[in-house]
Amino acid sequence: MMAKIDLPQGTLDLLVLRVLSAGEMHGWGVAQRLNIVSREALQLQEGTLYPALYRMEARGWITSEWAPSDNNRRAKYYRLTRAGRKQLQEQSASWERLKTAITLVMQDA
Amino acid sequence: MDRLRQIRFKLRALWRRRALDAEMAEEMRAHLDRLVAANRGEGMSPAEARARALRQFGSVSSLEDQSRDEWRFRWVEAVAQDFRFAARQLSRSPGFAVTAILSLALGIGASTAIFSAVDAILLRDLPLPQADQLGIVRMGPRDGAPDKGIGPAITGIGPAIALEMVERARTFADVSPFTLTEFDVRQGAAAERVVGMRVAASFFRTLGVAPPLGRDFLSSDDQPGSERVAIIDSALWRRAFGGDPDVIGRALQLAAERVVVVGVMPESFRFPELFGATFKPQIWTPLAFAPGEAADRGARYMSLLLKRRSEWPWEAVRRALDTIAREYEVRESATFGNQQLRAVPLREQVVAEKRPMLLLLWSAVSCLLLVACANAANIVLSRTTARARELAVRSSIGASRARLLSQLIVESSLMAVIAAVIGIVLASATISLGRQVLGEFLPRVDEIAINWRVLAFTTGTTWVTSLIVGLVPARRLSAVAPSDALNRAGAPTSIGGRWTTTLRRVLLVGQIAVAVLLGTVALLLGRSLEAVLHADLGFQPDSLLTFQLSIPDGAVQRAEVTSLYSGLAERLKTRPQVISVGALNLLPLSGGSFGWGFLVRDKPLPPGTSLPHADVRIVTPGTLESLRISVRAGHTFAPSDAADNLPVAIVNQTLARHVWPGENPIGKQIKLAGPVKVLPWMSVIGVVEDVRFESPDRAVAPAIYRPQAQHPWSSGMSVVVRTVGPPAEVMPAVREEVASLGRGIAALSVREFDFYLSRSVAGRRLVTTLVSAFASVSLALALVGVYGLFAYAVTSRTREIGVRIALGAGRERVVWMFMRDALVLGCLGLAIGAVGVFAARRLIATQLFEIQPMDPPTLALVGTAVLVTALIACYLPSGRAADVDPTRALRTE
Repeated sequence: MMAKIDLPQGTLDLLVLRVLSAGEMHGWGVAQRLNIVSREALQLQEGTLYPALYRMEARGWITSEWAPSDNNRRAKYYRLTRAGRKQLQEQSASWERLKTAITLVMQDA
Repeated sequence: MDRLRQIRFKLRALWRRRALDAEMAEEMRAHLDRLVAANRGEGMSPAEARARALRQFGSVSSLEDQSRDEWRFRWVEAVAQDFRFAARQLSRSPGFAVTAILSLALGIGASTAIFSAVDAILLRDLPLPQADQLGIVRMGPRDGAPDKGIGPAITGIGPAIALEMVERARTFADVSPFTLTEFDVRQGAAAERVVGMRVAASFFRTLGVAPPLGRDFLSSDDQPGSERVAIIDSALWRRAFGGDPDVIGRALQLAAERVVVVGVMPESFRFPELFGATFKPQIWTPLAFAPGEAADRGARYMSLLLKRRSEWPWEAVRRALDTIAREYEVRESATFGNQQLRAVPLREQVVAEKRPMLLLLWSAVSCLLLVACANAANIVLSRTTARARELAVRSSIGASRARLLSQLIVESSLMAVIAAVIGIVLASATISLGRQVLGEFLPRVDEIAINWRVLAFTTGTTWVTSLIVGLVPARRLSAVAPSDALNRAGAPTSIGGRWTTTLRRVLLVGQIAVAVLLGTVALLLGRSLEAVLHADLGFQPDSLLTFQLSIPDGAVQRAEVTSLYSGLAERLKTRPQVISVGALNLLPLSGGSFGWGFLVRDKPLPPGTSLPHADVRIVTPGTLESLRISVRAGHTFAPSDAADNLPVAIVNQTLARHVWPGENPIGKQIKLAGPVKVLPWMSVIGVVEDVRFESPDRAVAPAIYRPQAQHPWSSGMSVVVRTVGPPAEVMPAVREEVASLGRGIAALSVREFDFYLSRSVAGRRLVTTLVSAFASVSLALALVGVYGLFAYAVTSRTREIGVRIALGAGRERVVWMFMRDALVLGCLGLAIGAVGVFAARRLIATQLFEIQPMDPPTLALVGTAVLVTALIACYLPSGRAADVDPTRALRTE
């Protein structure tokens, strides 16, 4: 297993948006998906997802709905809105630019 | 875009906060449960699995708190928290809170009430359309004309001239003549005397109002011989007709005539109180001059209501009137010589007389507001300094400067808000009380209401003061290193600093100065009131019963009037409680006046001067005796001074002094202006003492007394009954005797004379009471300030005092150290207060009677009282300094 790394500031939103772009999902699901996709490399306290989710909901990027879940309890399912999709595009684009810039500097400096 | 959406979300969240909280808790709990289950699945023990899950998840409460930020307004809640904290702070030191809030509330309440009254009475336009274009025209001495002290300054205009003016003045304005009168409104045997006006048909049109019920006067109503009609106000409509909407066309029985009601004025209509606050007309009839009356040029009882064109300023109106007056002067020098037509804006006519009094009250209450602000500021200052430690602790555990400031702002605001609420209650109570009791001596009382702009101003002033004063030291406070503040916990002065102490001393000097100023004014007013109450009125107002007779038209022939009154007097005198009885045309101090121009035999008028003017009193035999007006020369009237005998008159000392200086007036001849047939030459048979007829504090006008039998006077007169014992006991006898006269004759306003006496000093009494109350409050606040400052000084200098005593300073010396300080502050305040009195001396003098504003004994008395009480207030805490135990004082730190 690799050493875990802290998530850079402000990137949690991007990751959550990306995960939700695959389809609606509850908080637990988002956490598991992040863990699996990052191969558990991210040092993520799973609870921090929730303030992020509520924040994005308040900004209208995602909406939520209660529905029965797989373990016979109800869960809150989150879904991207149009604004959220746009936000995801913008944030991914700027992340790409940042990544390229950092890579270039790391290669040539 | 996002922010807008966020705010919308938060606003919606306001309603379902509890639900949101619950959903969040449920969601997080579910997540935790799954984590625990997953850990169990890896073979951990329940406790281990739970501990790990919590580590994986993070701090639930902190996450919840972070999340909640998304649906709450953070700063609002911070402020709310500040408010709760402030409320706890205030209730923890109730003494401080109550003093500060009460003094603020008192300041806000009193000044709001008085500012509102001043605004309503002095500043607002009269409640009439285009009120600023309305004015009243009467006659008065030309500016700069030599004042011989004879006659009242201002009179009406003769009817003939008034009618000519309507034609002449048409070029520059609407002009509408009117005159005042009284009507006895009769309902069966009962009668009521109502103030009314006889007006030209155009009067209400000039005024800009019309009766909503019925019609306005028509010019045909104003013709002699046409049916007599009347317009009444809503109060009389309710009293006489029970508010019947079908009143139009119904008859109203007046003593002298029967009139048909053609219009009712609206509830909201109040005729401007042009001739004093007791002048509240309720009925209007057309002039409908008889031909003889319309030709009268000398009887000056008419006034003109004038509406200027909006483009003509009052100055232009006055010039135009002056041109007309000068034309008259050439033709009618006896009437118009050195007299002019004076136009006075309507509002000015209504309020001018009361302006100085209201301005004085306004100034006094402003002083009170200042003192209240200073007091609150002082308290806030001392609190902020005393709380240095608390603030330092809070800042050391992370409270930002902004947070501390907001805490202090909220505390000051909470105080101001509570004070404002109490202040509103106080002000509205004062105003509603005032509206009930002030109507008799202040104009426009009905129009006074709480003025919200004024309230905002007074509250704002107090709030801003306490804010500024509270925040300035707080700013310095938050700049102090917490360790510093904590280490010197025993000596918080080092934090408040010299600056705060200096500010408190300045505020205190100001408070003492205001207390001295208000105290002096209050004492001057009190002594004036005392002087007025004990002024020699020229007659004896006690043990007098008065009433008026209402005589229906035609019930009594003119020739019978004399015997009617003498008969009534004789029968009343048979009662054991009655000493003597008389009757006269106008009661002293009743607010009316009745004057006439007069001529003196062998003393021709200097060319270009108009007739001198004197009050004319028509009296029956026994009147001077009943009023106890003493005869200074000659003798009083006798029943033999009858219609057919030699016409006689009695004059007062003022007239005798002005007309016959150094001569014996007895036997001299005078006559009232008018045809000799009606108003013959009269021989002066006596000189009586001056009577303060108009008001106890006003100069005496020249007066001529005539026997009723020789004067064509038939209307109801005022009867005066001198009694042994309480006058009220004679009331039943009076009613009985008047009823026995029959012929529909009724007694009106049966009252003890005290009624008129107290009414005539009511305004003075009110001002004195209010200013005294303001002075007491400001003195009390100043003393609280002195006490507070020195209590604080003694506490904060305990160590220094200990050192001094340990080094051998006598305890008296220590106490003296503080007392000397108080003495310096007190003297400073005293000096500034005296300067204040000097600066306001003109305004103060307007309300004084027989005393000067810079009255040395008064100033000395107030100064001594303030200084002594201030020294006592200082001694109470300073005395404790002497009890300081040096060994313990040195250990206090």
